[in-house]
Amino acid sequence: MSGSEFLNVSLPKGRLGETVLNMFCRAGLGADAERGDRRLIFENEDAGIRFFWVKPSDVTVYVERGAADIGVAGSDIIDEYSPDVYELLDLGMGKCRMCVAAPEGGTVNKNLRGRLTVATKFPETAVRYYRGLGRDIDIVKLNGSVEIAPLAGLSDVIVDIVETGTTLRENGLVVTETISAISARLIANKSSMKFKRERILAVTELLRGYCGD
Amino acid sequence: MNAPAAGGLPERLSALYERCGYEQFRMSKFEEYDIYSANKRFLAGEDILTFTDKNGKLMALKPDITLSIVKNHGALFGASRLGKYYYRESVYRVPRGSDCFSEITQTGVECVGVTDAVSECEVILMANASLSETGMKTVLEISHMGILGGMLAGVGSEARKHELMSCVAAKNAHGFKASADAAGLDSETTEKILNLSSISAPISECADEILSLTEGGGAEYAARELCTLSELLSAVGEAERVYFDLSVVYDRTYYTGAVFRGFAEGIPERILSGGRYSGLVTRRGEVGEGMGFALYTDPIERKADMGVARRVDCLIVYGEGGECAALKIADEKRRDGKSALLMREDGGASDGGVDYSELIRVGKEGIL
Repeated sequence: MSGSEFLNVSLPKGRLGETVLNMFCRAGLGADAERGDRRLIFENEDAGIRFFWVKPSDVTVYVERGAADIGVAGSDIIDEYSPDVYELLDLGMGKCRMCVAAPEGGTVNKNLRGRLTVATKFPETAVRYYRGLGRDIDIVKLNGSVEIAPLAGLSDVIVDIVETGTTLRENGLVVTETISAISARLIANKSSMKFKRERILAVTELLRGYCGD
Repeated sequence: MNAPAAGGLPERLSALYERCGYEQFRMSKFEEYDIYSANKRFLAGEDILTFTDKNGKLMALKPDITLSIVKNHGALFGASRLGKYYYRESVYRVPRGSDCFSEITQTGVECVGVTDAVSECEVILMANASLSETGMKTVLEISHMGILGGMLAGVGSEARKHELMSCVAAKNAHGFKASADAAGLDSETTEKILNLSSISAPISECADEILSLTEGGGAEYAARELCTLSELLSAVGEAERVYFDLSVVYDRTYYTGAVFRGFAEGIPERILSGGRYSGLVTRRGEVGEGMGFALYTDPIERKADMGVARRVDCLIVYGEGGECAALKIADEKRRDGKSALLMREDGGASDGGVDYSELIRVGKEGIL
């Protein structure tokens, strides 16, 4: 089979991607990777499906650029990068929230004097949120350990993903605002949707069945 | 999948447009910046390459062709008189996902002035014919901005309207439902929009369904215009080749009627986009309108070039002392109508970079 005849599926490395792969396997469409197998591309030739393991934040790039026909990406990534893709299904998995968090007992978030300094891995999301509030901010773009930014004096608040809130609490932060609910989404390349529509819709319905949507 | 027939594509497209009576519009690389600042939302992006000319005027390397055609046609003939133009020009924009300006080749047509259903149908026929000229498997899909505009007219907040339209553009049914709820959109309209969003069929097969889902509301006129287009396309046997898809959504500040776009198999992004526009403000304060489309030929040519080695009839490799003989042989071959590539012995000719039918090695003693 040539590359264009396969349905190319981009999965995020980690628990979420493995859960989705299991769904494909249960439907007879998956491909079992053997324990210890470090291949990042593997396929089910009979079903005509090829899977790629990619960094979660790169799934949208693979799909938008057509290297993958479909993929599973968190809505936080979709909201941050606004890829030009179709968003076909909310898988209802990987649920968490995008929140503003500030030092417990602090008043800076409510203090409108001066610009708020916001540390975040999601600058576009933060800018959009505060623009909606009509509030000027300074963005400090970080790549990880965002929770320590206020403690280190780097920022007033953070905008970050919150699951249980444990990491925040352990670093003396509390959620002050919830920006959005996050979950995993099935996305599709727009061009692929024109030429592989039936197969993509079949996969969408398959995953919808497993997600109980 | 057919390989794209990129060779000669510009010439074939020009011939196509001229057969339809369109005249070529030629323009300079530069345009006065004013025209873009007055119509920023019409442009594909916010970034414009500007410079100050020697006379102090702020100029731009053009990011768009339509505005120039509307401006020039309006200045010569007035904004309402019909004009039919085609072009092959470069525009200068920051492509999506990039942080650098690029030169992008566009070929397209503009039917400027007050158009009617026939001239609009003709533009869509030319769009489909342009896609066919690529030699690739293609799809042209169409919608009408008045459908969503009419059905969402009751949503008070512009931000909510934009959110709802973005969900439709992304086929994001779950997001649409949540946003519709938050916007207070009634459940019947929500359901109708979701039904319309699920349609992907030739316009001739779904025109009646589109009408029944929009009847009696502010979107009915848009559905009727699509039905008229469908009838005209059917008259020339082309309605089966134009698919309705509500996810074709453009900026409603300017796009007021039928909108369409084209895709080619194996190219991840749309290669053609077009629609009916109005509200373009010229320097004279006239409001320009019309219908047109642009075909982006760069991805088509890239696809055609992929995996194809450079090809010549004859590769002439010369060493020291063989220069004169090599030049003479190349000249003879070219006079015979053959292509001949001259390469010095260490010039990489043997690394597989060139396909050739004949190899001639020339040294001090002549042909080796």
